[in-house]
Order: sequence, then structure tokens, then C-alpha cells
Amino acid sequence: MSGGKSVRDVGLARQLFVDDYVVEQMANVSRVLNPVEKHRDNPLLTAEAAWEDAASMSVATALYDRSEKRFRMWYTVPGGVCYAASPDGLRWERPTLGLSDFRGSAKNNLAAGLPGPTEGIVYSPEMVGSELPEKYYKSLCREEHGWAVYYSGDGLTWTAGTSNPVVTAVVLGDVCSTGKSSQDLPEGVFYKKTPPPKYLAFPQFRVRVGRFERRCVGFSGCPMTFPDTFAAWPVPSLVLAPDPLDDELADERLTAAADTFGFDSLEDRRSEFCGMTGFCHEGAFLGLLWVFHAGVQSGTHGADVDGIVDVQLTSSRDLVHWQRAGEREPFIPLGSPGDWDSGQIQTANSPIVVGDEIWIYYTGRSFSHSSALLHQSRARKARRGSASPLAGIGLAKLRLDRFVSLDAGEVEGTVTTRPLQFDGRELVINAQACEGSVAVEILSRGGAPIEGFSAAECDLFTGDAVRHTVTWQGNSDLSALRAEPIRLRFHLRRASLYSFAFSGWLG
Amino acid sequence: MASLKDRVADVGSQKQLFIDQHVVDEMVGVSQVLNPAVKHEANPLLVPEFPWEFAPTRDGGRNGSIQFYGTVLYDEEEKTFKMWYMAQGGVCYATSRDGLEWEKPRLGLAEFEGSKQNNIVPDGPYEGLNYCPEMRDVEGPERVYKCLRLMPGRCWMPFFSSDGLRWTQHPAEPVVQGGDECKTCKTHDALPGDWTGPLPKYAAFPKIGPSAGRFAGRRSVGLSLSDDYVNWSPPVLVLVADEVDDEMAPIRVAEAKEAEVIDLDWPEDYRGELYHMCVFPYEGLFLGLVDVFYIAAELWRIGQLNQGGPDEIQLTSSRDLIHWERAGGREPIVPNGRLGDWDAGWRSATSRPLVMGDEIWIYYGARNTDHGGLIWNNKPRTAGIGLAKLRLDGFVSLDAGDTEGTVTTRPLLFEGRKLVINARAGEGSVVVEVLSREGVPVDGFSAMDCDPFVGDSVRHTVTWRGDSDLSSLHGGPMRLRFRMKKVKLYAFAFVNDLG
Repeated sequence: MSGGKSVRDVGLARQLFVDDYVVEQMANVSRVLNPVEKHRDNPLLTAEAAWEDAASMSVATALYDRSEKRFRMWYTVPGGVCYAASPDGLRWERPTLGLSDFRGSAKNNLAAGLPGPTEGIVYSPEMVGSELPEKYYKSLCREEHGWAVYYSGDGLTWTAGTSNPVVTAVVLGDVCSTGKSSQDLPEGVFYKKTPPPKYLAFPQFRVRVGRFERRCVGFSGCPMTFPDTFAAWPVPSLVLAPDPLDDELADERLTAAADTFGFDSLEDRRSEFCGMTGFCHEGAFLGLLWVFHAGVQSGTHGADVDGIVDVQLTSSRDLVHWQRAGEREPFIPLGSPGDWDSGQIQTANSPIVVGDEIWIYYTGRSFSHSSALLHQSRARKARRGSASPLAGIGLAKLRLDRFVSLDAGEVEGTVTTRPLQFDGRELVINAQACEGSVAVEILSRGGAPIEGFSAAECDLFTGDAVRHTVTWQGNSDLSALRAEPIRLRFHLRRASLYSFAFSGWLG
Repeated sequence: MASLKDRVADVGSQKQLFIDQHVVDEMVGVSQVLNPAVKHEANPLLVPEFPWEFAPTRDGGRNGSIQFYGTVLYDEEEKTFKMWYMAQGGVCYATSRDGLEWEKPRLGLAEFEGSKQNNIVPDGPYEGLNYCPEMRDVEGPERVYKCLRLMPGRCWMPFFSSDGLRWTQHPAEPVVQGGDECKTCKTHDALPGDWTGPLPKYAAFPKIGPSAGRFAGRRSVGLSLSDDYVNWSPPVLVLVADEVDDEMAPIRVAEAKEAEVIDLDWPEDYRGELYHMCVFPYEGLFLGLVDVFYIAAELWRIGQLNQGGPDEIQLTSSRDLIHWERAGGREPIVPNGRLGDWDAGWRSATSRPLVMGDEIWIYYGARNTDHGGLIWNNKPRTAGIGLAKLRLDGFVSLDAGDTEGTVTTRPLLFEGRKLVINARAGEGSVVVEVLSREGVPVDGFSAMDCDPFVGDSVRHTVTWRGDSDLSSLHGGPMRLRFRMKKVKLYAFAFVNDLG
């Protein structure tokens, strides 16, 4: 192994297996995408108020406010952006804000009119001291010549920036999600002379790909710039476009959904990427890609593009090169025919880590992408006998880090890492081996087992744990191994391995 | 969901190369190998001779100063090779009957040191040109030759010419915004793939880069498309260096130090960038000769601008001009010379390769110093233009060694009555079996029935018990399985003629 890959400095960060960033070799192991679990009470929010409309109501952002100990949500309706709050993320209330007029009354939960923060909101209270408090909440809104920035101190009253538009390019479309990169990226993730951008934007591009002009994913990154926070966006770049395999999948999906939505007459079938929610998770960048399986109604000469939208998972280490995870299977699959989320899914701006879970709020619709009204009637027909609402906002969950796993069956599988430089004193794994086992051995950089840490000496892990401390004959202390880079080799039988980390304390 | 490899590929009569994995389902005991082009023994074929091909040095001497920013084409009508290249005095022109011995005609078009007795082309196509005789009736004779030239403000303007020697700027608004390199490619002589349909007729590849993230500001490849060479789509980013390029940089810099082409070496500056890419259609693919710049040092460290370091020509492939793959393990397709060689240092560029009979000819420019060497050091410099050759389709092969290897294709829909392969079986052999979609050998077309191919041929017709006729197989998709030992397999095609 001496001629292998270079050393990764992983510090204390958890290492996911969404890509081969830490992996040198795998044998008898497959990489598996683990779709989310949808909450059984979905949808948690549906159009009720007079100013809400099921066809267009769409979640922009959900976040957890630590200081107020509550969940906060922003969603768009025809007249602006509404606000809701919840103590547990499940039961949502619409506070009367008194900020915006609707039919002569301010007794509503409309936080801002249009233009306003229609796209996702980035909330950065951790920037105390380096950002103005009245800019802790920020968002982008599409204007004629690009994307404009809006700021707020409380998330409810919003002010336009002074140098709008702030994101411009000739090929921009009408969606742009935003996020922030973690402050504590492990060294080596970014080229050392190019500091990570503090804020991320993924504007929709419209680019000719294959035979069609299509929606694709662009990227721009904004440094933290006082006092013009969120305003210094360099020209975005194209980073993700559909390819021929996406088109084949689109054709399959449309054919499978033909009866429900009347897609038989769709021509020029293809895949488009409506948008991507990009976020930083433990040193990796993950994306929730909105894949539009699309076609043109025959006879409309390209005017009426229809189809269904589901969500796939992508990953990147550098924000420019993006990989598709799990053979492009849906990460948030559409619901069964008739379900409230059987036609379209779009994710809220950034997932939330809640304890040992990852929560993803999303908009679901039971009708297809085009001409909402026409399809509402079709959807009603399709849902005859179904109690499911027409559309709404729901929650999907995943256990911590469990986006993608390395799975082994009856035959033992092994995963050998690159040489790792680490901090920390113990090895913690996130794994499921209820009917199998996981053992870990520690090797020198050259691949020789290190005495006291061989596979035979490792105490087998069985069960299901988000954080299990690995021991070798009862001992978990690795501090003696920190001087030189080491490799880990995982031995898996009927097990799923999700992540590992070197943790800082003795358990 | 069926995996990609079980999906049917409609290959028609299009020859299939193995540069990407598009038609391959499974390979066992076979490796995908890049075959470097073989350099001509008479290289460099074109060297500086005249005063306008030299640059003065600080100590009063002179250095050869020609770079292959240009084009070599073969003019079928005049049965002549034509070359445009960049010299100290501007873009120059040369001609050749055989592509090996070059003449520099006195054109009388531009003045150099008081005389027009030179081969300088005013406003010449230093980024290469597009020769489009097939468009003469559509676009007019005055646009048979086209190029983009960099104008102030980092934008590119179209220039047209009827003979390649007298150029006129098109009075348009600036057309392509982008960095200081921009190769162009005519795409209308490519066979449109099912997926792409007919693409716009011309593609340009301006040097642009990501604006944020780890690769921010790196030289990268953009794409812009045009149907008339005047109106161009906004450039989008299509290929960026990655971590593997960065990991390769210290290795390539060390080799360049051994070849004595670099002087300044600063490990914390090491990285990979994509300097430019010369794109051409080839058998249903777009191939790229990408110039990978391995930066050894920032020259601000010695009070200069720009960067020093070696470069290398590698192969890329795409089926739609948007998604690009790095091919052949990123090995060089025109390897850098060693210590003392005329082409040990910076390769200035390549020209769109020419298919000459059963060979592929790649002209390239090179010198004996690195990228920074042009800018700051004063060491004697040699420069020239050379030729490197490949066999037809020879870019990448599937190679089997002493033990039998197999290559199984995806299910293929095809047109054609016989199967032709391009292979070299030195001491080995290759047999082909035809399988059903499910992988069951078809009666009469099994490996046992196949007459083994031995020898070396760019177009060998495969036979089964003496018979090459595949007409009976046109019912549904079929897989091919190549069983080979000591063989290089370059390509296969279904063809119609029963010659």
C-alpha cells in the first residue's frame, strides 16, 4: 500500500462514506443510499388561511432557533412570505404578525410582501461581532436582472440591500437556494490559499445540454464581508447538468407515472435540475437535487413542459465537482399515487440536525409540475377515495450521518481507509449490525497491523448505534497512535457502516 | 431500475472506441490503456530560421521564439498541408506537400523591419482557425476560414478570411467573454448523437474558472456555442482541475526538475490547472487534448507576474461538450521529452489532429523551458513544432496479457452486415462471440465458432466458420464478448459493405 493515496488529516471530524474521500480500498462491500423516512403525520402544514393557496404554497426555510428554543418556518404564498413557529417541529402555529395587509387586515402571518425573501433564508447568529445584528437573517429574491439580497434582524421585517442585484449571470433561472459552509472545516478540504466561502448560493442556470435548453445547477460562494454581508457574490459557475442516463431515468419515471398524471402524450422527454439545496455536513458538502423528469405536451411546441419532481442526493468536497450518490435513486421518493406528495417534492433551504437525527422539511404536491390548476383537477380525480390533501409541507427524517452506508452481507466485507492523521483519543463508529458484526483493525501507513489493535483483538460490535466507541480487549485509548498516520480497516458482516470519527475524550 | 450497463445502446454503424466506458458492460482481466503518440524521428519539423522568429535576450543574444498557437490542416483541393503558427513577429504561415518538410513562403502581406519579404499573416489566427470549405455555399467564400482573436477587455471577436492569409474583423459586438485563451472547434462535421441532436455549428472553449471554493481562479475550460460564428452563447464552465491533478503536481514538477526545464520550485504553490483544450469530433465522440499546467511556483516570489511550471497534453472525452471525462488514467498523449530534448519543456499547444489514411497525426509545439521560462529567465531557449502519430483509433485500447481477458458490451442495437475490429494481436489472438441480451451465446456465433484473429489490422472482418454475415441477428439487441490474449483492442464497428 505504500504507493497508495495521500494522507487525510481528519482531525475530530466525522467521516461519512458518501464518497471515497477517506476510502482506499473496498472488498465485498456495496455503497447504499438510504432514503429518508417520512413522518407519519405528514403533511404537517396545509393551506388553510385565505391568503394561502395549495397549488403554490412552498416551504422556503425551516430552522431551529436555539435561543428561543423553537422551530421557525418561512413559506411562500401568492402574496408574499408567511411565517410559522413550533415548539417541537411537528405542531405548527401561524402567529398573527400584524405586518402585512391582506384584504384590508393585518391579522395574518405574512412576514413580508413581494419582492421579499422568497428563496431560502440563511440565519447566522454565530456571526455575533462580525455581522450587524440586523443582518443575521438574509435571503435572496429574484429580480429582473438577477438575485437581490434582503436582510432582517428577526426574520419578520425585511429590508432590501443597497447594491442589488448581487448575483448576476446571463443564464440565471428562477430558483436559488443558499447555505453556509461550516466554520471548522478540517484542513485540506479547501486549497489552503483559498479560504472557504462563508455563504453558498446555488442559482438555477438555463443551459443547452444535449438537444434542449435545460435547468441546471450553478454555484457561487460569498466570503464574509463586513458590512456588506451576503452581497459580494462572484459570477456563478455551472456545476451540475443532466446527462443521457438522467434522460433514460426520466423516461422510465414518466412511463411509470403515465396513468396517474396523463403523461402518455409527453414528448421530448428529458431530465432537468430545478434546483439544489446545498449544505455542509461534517466536512463534506451534500446536495438535495430537485430532479425534474420532464416532457413536452404534444402539439404545444415546447410551451407546456410537464412532469414530476423528486429529490436525489449529491456530494462534493470542493463545491465545483459534484458526484451523484446511490445510482441516482430517489433520496426523498415521491409518495404513492394519490398521496399529497406523489407529484413533486422540493426541499427547504437546509436540513436541521435535531439530536441524533437529520430533519428535512419539504414541499409536497399531488399534482405534476405544469399548469397547477389543470393538474389539480387531474390530481383530484387520481385521489378519489383518498383522504390525502392536495399539497402541503412535510418532514422527512434520517438518523445522524446515515445518508449513505457501506454494506456487507454474509461474506465478510472490508473497507480500508487512506492513511489518516487524527486528533482525539478514541474511535467512534456509527453502524448497524443487529444480525451481524463490525470489527476494526488499525494498520500502519504501510498496511501492517499494529499490535494491540488487530482485528482478532477488537471487541466485536453488534447492535445499532449512532456512536459506538470501539475497544480492543477492553481498551479504547488511541492516544499512543497519534504520532504517525494510520489506516483503519473495517471488517463487516451483515452490517451497515455510516461514519466514523476520532473523538476527543475518554468515554 | 435497470442499471446503466443493462441498458441498450443504439450504435447503428458508428465505430465504437474504448476511450470511455459507454458501450462496455464488464471487463475481466483487461485494462484500459492510453497509447502515447509516437514522435516523428525528424522532429522538430519546423524551427526558427528568420529574424521574426527570434526574440532578443537581455544579453544581446537571441532565442528561438515560435509557439504552436495555430493550426495544421490538409487542403484536399490543393493537396497541400498548411500551417499557421505564432512567432515573435506575429502569426506565420508555412506549407508542405508531405506534412514533414515545410516551406515558409514570402507572402508580402506584413512589414517586418522594413520589408514585406516574410511569411507573417496580419491579424492572423493565433488561437487556431476553423477551415470550413463545406460551408462555402452557405456562409459565403469570404468565411471559409474563421477564427476568434482576443481584443482589449478580455473578449473575443470573429475574424473571417477566404484564403487564410487576408483576415477581416467582423464588425460585431464582442462575442465571447473569457480569459486569454480560447480554442474553437467546428462541430457540424460531427455526426449528431441521438442525445445531442444537431448541435450549434461551432464551439468555443474560453479559459474561465470557478469563482469560489477550493478551485477558485484556476485556469479551467468553458464552453460557448454558435450557429454563425458571430452570435455566441454565454460561456459556461465545463471542466475544472481536481484533487487528482493537485496530487500529480509534485510528481510532474520533480520530473521537470530532472529535465532541467524549471528553475523556481515552491512546494506550497503546487497545483494543477487546465490551460486550454483543443477539441475535435472523432467517431461519435468529442475528444479533447487538454493542456494540464502543473504549477511549480508563483513568479511574484521573484518579482514577476504569472506562474512557472511544466505542462502536459492529456486526453479527455465527451458526448455532448458539457460532461467531460479524463481518459487513459491522465497519462500524457504526447509525452514530454527528457533532459536535453527540444520538447522537454512547455508544450505551447496542439492542433486538431488529422486523420491521414490509417494514421492520426498530432502536431504540437514545444520548447526547452517551462511556462515561466518565457517570462523571466534568460537561458538559451530552443523552440519548434513537431509531429506525433497514432494508429487509427489508437488513443486508448483494452489490453489483455498472457491470461485470457474478456470484454462484454452492453446490449447493442446495430445496423450492418458484418463486424469489423481494429486490433493488434502480437503473439496472441482475439475471438468474438455474440450473446443474447441475457448473455447466452447465439448459435453459430459462439467463441468456438469464431475464427481467431491473429496479426495487426485497423479493419479486420470477424468471421465465424468462415462466414461474416450478421444479417440473421437483426431481430433484437445483442451483446458482443471479446475473448483476448496478448491483444490490444482499439475499436469495433458494424459495417454494411460485404467487401
